[in-house]
Amino acid sequence: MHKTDFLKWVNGGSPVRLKLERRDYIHQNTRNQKKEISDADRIKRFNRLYTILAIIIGLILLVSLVGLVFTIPEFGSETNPTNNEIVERYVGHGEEETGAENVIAGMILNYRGFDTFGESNVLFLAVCCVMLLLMKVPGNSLGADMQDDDFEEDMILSGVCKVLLPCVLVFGVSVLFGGHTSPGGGFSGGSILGAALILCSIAFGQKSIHRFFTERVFNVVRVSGLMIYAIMFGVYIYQGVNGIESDLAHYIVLVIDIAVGLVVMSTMYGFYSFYTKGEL
Amino acid sequence: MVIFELLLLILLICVAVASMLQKSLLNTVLVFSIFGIINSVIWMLLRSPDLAITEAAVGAGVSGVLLLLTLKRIDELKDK
Repeated sequence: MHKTDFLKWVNGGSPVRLKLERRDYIHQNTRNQKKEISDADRIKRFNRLYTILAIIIGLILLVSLVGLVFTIPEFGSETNPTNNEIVERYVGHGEEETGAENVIAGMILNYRGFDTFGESNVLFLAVCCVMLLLMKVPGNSLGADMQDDDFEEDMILSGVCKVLLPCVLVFGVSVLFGGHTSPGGGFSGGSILGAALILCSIAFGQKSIHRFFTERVFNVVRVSGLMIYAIMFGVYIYQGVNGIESDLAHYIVLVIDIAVGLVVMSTMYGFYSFYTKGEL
Repeated sequence: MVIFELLLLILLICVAVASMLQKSLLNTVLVFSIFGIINSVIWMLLRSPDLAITEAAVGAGVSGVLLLLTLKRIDELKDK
């Protein structure tokens, strides 16, 4: 049907003579098939290329990394670049300057305190992002579809937890509080305590946690932990470590350790809780 | 002791490869937790108990729990 005929008909001209067109279906079908085959071919070719490229890149990485291993300095050699005055200072004067008997605690909480402070901030922001995404509030589609299924207490799990939980809690607290004198500290102690809270929540239901760890407590703990750390570290920086008496410095390390532990603990439990129920 | 360390390191590589080759994601997470436990023993043998405690708590415990929760969120744990 020509365009001009149609226009004439619309404008009130003579009716259009329609012509039946016979489409060439077979021809089209073969064309479609050809196209599909070529698509499949392309995917197959891409897959082959992908494999070859992956092998080449893997080999390059392997060769360069193994080559690198042969060029690194001998382990424990005296002429290594890591063997400088910093190690001497940290190990030699660490205890009197930071008040921490455990040199590593003194290092990560005082000399490299900014690193640890940044890590605590990262944890804090991570929990904030999880809360933004998964919290069960009106208007949040991701959090709304969390089904809160009825909790059933498993006999074996709760029986084991009744024995195990006190041990885990005591171990976590001892690691947290003994961080400046023995191996451990804020991060390890906090994660053990967080794991204990998660275990308690799995075994006895999330409602059992609510007796002492509500959302309000959660917010207070994580914010105040970070604030205590910031204030104490600020005191360290502006006062200078040698201006503080050794006993007081000792306590400040302990306080910072506990603050880090609280932040880590609330982060761990917050992750678990927001992932499962969308609320604390 | 050296033999024990070598054995652990070989086992570490084996577990790392095995965790990639698992068919189901649940098995991957479980094998990955084993990776964390072996790693913490190796840290202990390298005389860094601070790292060993953290690795045992985070690598073997909490990260496994979080990964399992993620699998539950994306309905990967249901039988198909």
